[in-house]
Amino acid sequence: MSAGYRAVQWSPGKRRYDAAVGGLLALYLALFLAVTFASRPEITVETALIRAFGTAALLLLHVVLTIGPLTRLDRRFLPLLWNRRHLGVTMFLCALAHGALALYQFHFLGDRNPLVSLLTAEGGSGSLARFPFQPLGFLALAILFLMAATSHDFWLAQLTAPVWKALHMGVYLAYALVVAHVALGALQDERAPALAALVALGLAAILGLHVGAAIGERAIDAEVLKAEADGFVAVGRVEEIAEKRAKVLSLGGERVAVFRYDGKISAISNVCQHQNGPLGEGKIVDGCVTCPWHGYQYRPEDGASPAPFTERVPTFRVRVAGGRILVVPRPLAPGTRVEPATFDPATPAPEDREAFFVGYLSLPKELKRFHRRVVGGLAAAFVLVAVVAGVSQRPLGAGQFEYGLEARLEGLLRAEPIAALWASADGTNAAGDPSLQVIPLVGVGKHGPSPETLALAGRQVRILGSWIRRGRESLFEVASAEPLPDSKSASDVSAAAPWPLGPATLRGEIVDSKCYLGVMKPGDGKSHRACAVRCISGGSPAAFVARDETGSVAVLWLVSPAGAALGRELLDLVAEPVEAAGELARVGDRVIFVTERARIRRAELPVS
Amino acid sequence: MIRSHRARHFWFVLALAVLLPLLVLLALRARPQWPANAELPAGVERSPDDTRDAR
Repeated sequence: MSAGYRAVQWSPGKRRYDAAVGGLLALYLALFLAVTFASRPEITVETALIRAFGTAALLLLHVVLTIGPLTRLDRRFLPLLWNRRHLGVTMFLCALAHGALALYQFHFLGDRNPLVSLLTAEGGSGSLARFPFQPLGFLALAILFLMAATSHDFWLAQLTAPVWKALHMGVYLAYALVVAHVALGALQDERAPALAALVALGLAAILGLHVGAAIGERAIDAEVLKAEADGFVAVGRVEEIAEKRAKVLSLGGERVAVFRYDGKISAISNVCQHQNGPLGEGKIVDGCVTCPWHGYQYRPEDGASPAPFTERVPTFRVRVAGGRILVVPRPLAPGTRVEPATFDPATPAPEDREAFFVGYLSLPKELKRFHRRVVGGLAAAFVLVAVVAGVSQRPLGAGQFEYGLEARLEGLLRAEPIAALWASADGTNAAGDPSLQVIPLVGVGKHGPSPETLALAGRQVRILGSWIRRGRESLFEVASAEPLPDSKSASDVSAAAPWPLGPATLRGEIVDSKCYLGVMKPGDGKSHRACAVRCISGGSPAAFVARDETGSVAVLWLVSPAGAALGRELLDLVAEPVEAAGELARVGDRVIFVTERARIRRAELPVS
Repeated sequence: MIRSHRARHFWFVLALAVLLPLLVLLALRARPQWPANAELPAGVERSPDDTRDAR
């Protein structure tokens, strides 16, 4: 045994591992984005990136979580454990990119602190379908952050192994939160069965493997061994154990590893001090019990790591009588030396057919072949998920935001019933004239027109900004507005009164017009709800989107009976199926829906 | 002494195996219906529904 042990930091094996993880991730992101832009060319870059990083994080989380039970079921997977923390940190970085982009897209540039908005914009619940899904993802990300930040062995030493391990078991809570985040978020809007099937498949894989491994482990713990009169328990025979290997058994609820080596038998705790790895599934290398997870080592006779390391595990008194191995089930203090029991060195041993690997040793040939196949299988799975998830996304609408393309408009600015520019109007056009072009206005970000713009209401103005268009509807984002030099206030108020079209009861969805008409893809549904709430709260005009059975859609601008735009009073009904009763009226080439909060209710049942 | 975490977490794993699929099933069942109107009122301008397949 050497006296010059030192920690192995980086190795060719780790580099190959990281290269494989990076390659698989790059393959997934590139393919998902390519398929997404090919099948949904209308998607915005921001949404595509949010989805790419979100699905990549979910996929990597599945890989991280399957490694543990796979190693329980087949030890050839153990090399995947060696560098699992790099895989975990990579997964966290993808989740962080997803969360940061979503936070920016849905919550920045609004009327609330983005983090406050993240936690409150979706409102209360009342039903599973309305349950806020973004805070679930945020909470999962916070847990994953804690895990990634403490993943280095420095923190393992600072926190102590039990605390560190308990903290990192939080990955299961994070997984449960992520599943809820996806089921109550994306899957509420995305109706393609393939997407639900992918989530179900991942869930079945994770849970099936864990339950399978847990049942196998439970069988070991269920075995009851009775103590003999002298307090020793017979745990098996010497010839059952391969040379430099161990037999694992449960004594008094604790796992014990009984090692055979050089004509001797020693028994130590099966639980590695590093990360609770199964020492009994390791091997004696250089005279030390070597953990199969990360290669931590302990001397079999006293359970102590060789200097300079200080880890120690409990030991057990052991003796051999007539080939039978007997162990005292009571553990001795960690590091207590116990004289190994000896036996006839001629006792036969079963052949050790299992290749053994820890990261600082070279990978045996048979494991190299196996892991090439594993990486190939993962690549195939990543390609399959990227293609299926990419092509299964719902249509996002043909809206367009002509961002960066500055346009100039002139006309009469009116603040009511909605803030709009009455283009080609000289102040005397009747509101009932459908040839009158009325252009609703919004401000930059998640805001309505600025107070400076609205102060020009009733005057002829020139405005600069960008068009937002979808179908026959359009909206204009105002960058700046100024009164025309010879403008004067319009005095014909009666001409501005909406032209009644009659009463109506309609089913549809309340949206923020700016996002729905093209700024966001998607600009409707639950996954966009928080953003819609933020936009309407900030002054973007609320609109009612009604569809008919022939495949037509109408956008109606929501106005109160008092003649002002409806907005904040509707926030709890945004992005849900609702039924509204009110009066329709024409304002130039737009139709407004005059109603109020009390006349709008949730409509969750299909039209009969 | 550290107890075997695998034995300790058997019931935790089993609980997750029951609760998570149940949550997903309930969430899928709770997805809102998006009812179309039989027809849109006269005088209302309309566009072709560019997301019709989504619902």
